[in-house]
Amino acid sequence: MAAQLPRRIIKETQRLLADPVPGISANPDESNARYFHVMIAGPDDSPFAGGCFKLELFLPEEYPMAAPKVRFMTKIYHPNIDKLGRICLDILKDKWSPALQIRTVLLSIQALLSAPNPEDPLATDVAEQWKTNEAEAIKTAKQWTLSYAQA
Amino acid sequence: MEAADGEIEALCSIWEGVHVESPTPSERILKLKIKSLEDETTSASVVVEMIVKEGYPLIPPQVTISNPRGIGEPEFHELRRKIDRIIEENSDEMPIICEIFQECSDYLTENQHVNMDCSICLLSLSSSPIIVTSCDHFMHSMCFCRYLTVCLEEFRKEIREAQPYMKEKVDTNIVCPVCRESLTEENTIQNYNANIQKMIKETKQKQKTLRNKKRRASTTTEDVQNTMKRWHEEQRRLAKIYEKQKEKGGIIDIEEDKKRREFFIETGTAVVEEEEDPVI
Repeated sequence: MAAQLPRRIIKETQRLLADPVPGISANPDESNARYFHVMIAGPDDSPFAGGCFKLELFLPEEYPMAAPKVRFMTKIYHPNIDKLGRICLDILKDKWSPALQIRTVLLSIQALLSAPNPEDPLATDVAEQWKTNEAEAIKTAKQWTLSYAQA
Repeated sequence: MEAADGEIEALCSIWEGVHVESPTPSERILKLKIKSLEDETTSASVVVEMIVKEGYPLIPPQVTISNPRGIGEPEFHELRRKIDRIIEENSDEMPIICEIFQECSDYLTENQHVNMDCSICLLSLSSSPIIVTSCDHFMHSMCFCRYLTVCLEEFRKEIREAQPYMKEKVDTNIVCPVCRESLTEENTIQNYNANIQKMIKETKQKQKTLRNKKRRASTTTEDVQNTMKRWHEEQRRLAKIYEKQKEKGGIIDIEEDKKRREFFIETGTAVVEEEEDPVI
């Protein structure tokens, strides 16, 4: 089955394994090579440090002309990620380009963990907290990381 | 600066478009985008910048090469090493400005598109006719056509769905898939359509002549099987972590929230595609 996938997907998958991104692991599902199990380690300089976040990534049929669909599965307290794990990131929507790859998407998500952007919120309550009381927001994010995102 | 100025003059007579600056009387900055000599419309290029100071050629020039286009990363590093070697080995302090420019040009001509992949389908550039954008990014013509078609469909959809007074304002700018540089300028949607048709026609013609060329070995089924095997181990490791987080209530329960919002990730079975040509 895997051999009949578009070669781009095979090639990307192989590169992800041969040359993995530090702190990111992405594996195709055994029964569906378009569905990836992803794990992103919380960046050291963020309130998510020490956390291990599971995500799911799916390559739609139109990929790479359409963006992959990505969602956090592990709970995370972040202004740009809502409680269903949906991510507010321009390259996953109107700024998608077929020259982007699974690798670049995951790197962007990793960067989003290091740099939360409450000005462009998805989880409005979290963003509000982040703007009015950043110290408290960071504390909550750390707590969530500790309770929910341990390896 | 006599030795340098003499050589720069010679250089400018050989190479067209050399940009020369003299920030101080004892310093010259040269800049040129060097292209490979082959196939003018899709030639590889690098930007060479050179700072020549008083005392040249005893004091070697400082050379920076940047903006590699149409050559692979390993090749670009190799070119860098070659230039360094020319400078290092010039122990008898001979004039080397012209030699460096020539080396870049020769190297590009020999190595253009070697080991380069199309940025859209990630297959070897040499496997199918290519185009180059105004910002010097390379991709297969067919891949680029497909990209244009998708952009076009999206613009049309956006215009269709826009409020009447907003229809004119829909952004129909086509950007380079690699660097987002605008590729539109005077184009209108109608023009794109004509361009795409023309490009497809030309590509098909070129494709015929390319068919006879040897193709680079592509990914084999065996490669894929090996890769998948190694993954299974990693998957088992991740599955353990997932179970542990689930036990502690760390996993988002979509089902619980599904009634309130409609969101789910489609996870249909893989679509079977049989492809011979590198059209993603």
